[in-house]
Amino acid sequence: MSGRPRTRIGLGQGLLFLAFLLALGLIAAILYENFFAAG
Amino acid sequence: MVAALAAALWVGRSGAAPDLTPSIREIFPPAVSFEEQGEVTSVFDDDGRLLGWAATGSAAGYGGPMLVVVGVDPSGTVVGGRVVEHRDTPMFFQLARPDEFFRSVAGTPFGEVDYDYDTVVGVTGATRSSEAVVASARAAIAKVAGDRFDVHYPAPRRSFEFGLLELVTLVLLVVGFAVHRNGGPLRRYLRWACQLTGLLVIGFWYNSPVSLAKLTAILSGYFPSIYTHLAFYTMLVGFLVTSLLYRRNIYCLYMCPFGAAQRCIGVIGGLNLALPGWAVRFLDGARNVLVFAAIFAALITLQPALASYEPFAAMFALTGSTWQWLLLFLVLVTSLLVRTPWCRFLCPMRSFEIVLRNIGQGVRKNGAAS
Repeated sequence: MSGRPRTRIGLGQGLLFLAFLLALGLIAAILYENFFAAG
Repeated sequence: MVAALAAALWVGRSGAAPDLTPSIREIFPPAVSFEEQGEVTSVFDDDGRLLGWAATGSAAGYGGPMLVVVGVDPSGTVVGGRVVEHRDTPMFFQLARPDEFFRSVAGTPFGEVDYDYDTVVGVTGATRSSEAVVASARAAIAKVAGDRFDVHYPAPRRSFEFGLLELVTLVLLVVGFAVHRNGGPLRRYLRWACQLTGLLVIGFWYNSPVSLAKLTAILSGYFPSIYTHLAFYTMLVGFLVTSLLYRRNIYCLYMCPFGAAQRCIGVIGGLNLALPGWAVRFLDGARNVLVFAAIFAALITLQPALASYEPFAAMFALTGSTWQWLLLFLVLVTSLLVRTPWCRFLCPMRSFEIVLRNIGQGVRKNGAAS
């Protein structure tokens, strides 16, 4: 058996990764609000 | 990266000095001309009649320094005051309600001004910021009193503030350091004891965890007074020194209240899902980009307080924007599925820790090679 290891992830891990992506989006929104929206 | 941050700071610092004229005109509405004499500015109306004098005072707020200007008329009565410029955390600055303070002291002879913020404005929930308003106003009034009325006030005596917060941070640093170095069978329990103490005292009681805003303030050259921020410096030592020496640092492991909160929730969830390596690397990279952008923007605008994105205020002071509440909710929910998700993937301190650890390892490797 050879070749690249597969990078399949389970449902729980997938959801967790999505949650972290959402968190990063929220952080970007907070920073945007701090520097631009709040003047 | 360092050069980009240095350039941002240079641009931020090379901005023009604040213009006092609009604030002085607000205090003395008929003001037309001004004459600077040392630290005091004389203010005249259209007919060249003296309206009074204005002077500035500065002091440190929660997130950065504050500059105020105060006006006093020729009879020695305070006419009013304005905050000309501040680098404070916007939320705390608003809570301090400086305009209300200046409205209250207007019409009072300078020798009878009540500097007790609690009685003048009421409880604000922004102790450091309100103290900064008072200290700046006092300094400004003292300049006019000394220069124009020959009444000299001694500079307020500086002494260390040492209360529960300072004591707890110091004890946690010492215990954390000893436990981390020596291990032992009680290590697990002592770590829990330290973290729960940090959660209650540094978190819920004082809401004073180390934040990106404070680290950025230091990068921008603003060092909070050690007399009033001893606890912050204790936590900073716990973070900086042990990040250089060990793989993990004492602050994050033993003191940080937000880490403790996630750990408590993790006990309820009892899970620790692992992400694949590529996902971890992606999240690390994305966090580093956000932290860099936040620091860069804060340095170029010279507003360190704006760099903070942590949901600490929502967690410990029950106040924050919608985004911060959503972020807090998300972090607490994911804490059920993975151990301390904020600390591992989202916290800005993690980026600093990795940089410091790499520096420490580099120095040790060089030392061993030579």
